[in-house]
Amino acid sequence: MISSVDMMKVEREIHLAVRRDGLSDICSGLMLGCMALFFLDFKYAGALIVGCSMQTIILPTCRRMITYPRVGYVKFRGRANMRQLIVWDFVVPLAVVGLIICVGIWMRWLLPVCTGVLLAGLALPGARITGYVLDYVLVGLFLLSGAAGQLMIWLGYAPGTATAFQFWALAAVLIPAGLAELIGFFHEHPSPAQETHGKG
Amino acid sequence: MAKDEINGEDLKPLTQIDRVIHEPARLLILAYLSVVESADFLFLMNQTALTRGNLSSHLSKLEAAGYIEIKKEFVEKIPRTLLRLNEEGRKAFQEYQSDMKQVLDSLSQ
Repeated sequence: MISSVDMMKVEREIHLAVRRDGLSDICSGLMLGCMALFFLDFKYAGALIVGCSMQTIILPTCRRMITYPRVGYVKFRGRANMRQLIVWDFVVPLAVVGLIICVGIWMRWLLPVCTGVLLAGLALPGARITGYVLDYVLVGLFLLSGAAGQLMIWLGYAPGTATAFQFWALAAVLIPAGLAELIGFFHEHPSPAQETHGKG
Repeated sequence: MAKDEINGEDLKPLTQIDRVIHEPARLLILAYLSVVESADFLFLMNQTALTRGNLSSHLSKLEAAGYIEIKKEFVEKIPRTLLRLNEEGRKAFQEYQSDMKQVLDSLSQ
């Protein structure tokens, strides 16, 4: 009996229960949409901060208001120790931003491909945890966007402009997809108040 | 004939199986709690598809066995019952898994 309890499957189920609200796609789309401004013109550096806040502030807030009252609250296992916490929450994000800036300065002609690969690399661990088909599609989409951006450069667009369009194209896919998921989520999990009213 | 090949020693862990964990609903609860840091009552109820009363009763048993910690708190004036598998519970769950695996392996031989 215990052999049928596949712990990996249990973990996936838990991640999926929260992931299927579509909010992470919407916030990722908004984040990329904001960040695109930075690639269009470096004077919009503030767009990077606004973009990052979509994932660090807006997403948890939306989850608290929309997801948790419907499916319940779950806290995933945190970083095992302070070293991991420093590496994953500070060093890795800084390295990612640093890499983008370095590529932007010294290898501008490769910017779309590098950002595409980078985004795919960041999305892949999440897809492996959830096993959600849409997450794997997203990884493919990131790679494809990199190739499309590179094609724009060959067609004569500036690397920054090509990357900005690449990010906006991704946002244009992610936000509607996330909204569709969110609508499905609302249908599947009516608000607790509505549920009580319905039963009343 | 296959019955003759089963060694009584191999099945010894079966008699030592933790009966608190062996109940399917409680096993499911522990399986969910073992992969997260904590979860609230509503989340477990949705995941396990148990009724409120049923889940509450199983949680009480797991708490009495010293396997889980139940904490009640208020989040924005809304009460929340937070559940967490403690070290003892985690250890007991792992032992249960290895005991059952041993028994099932010996049966399948």
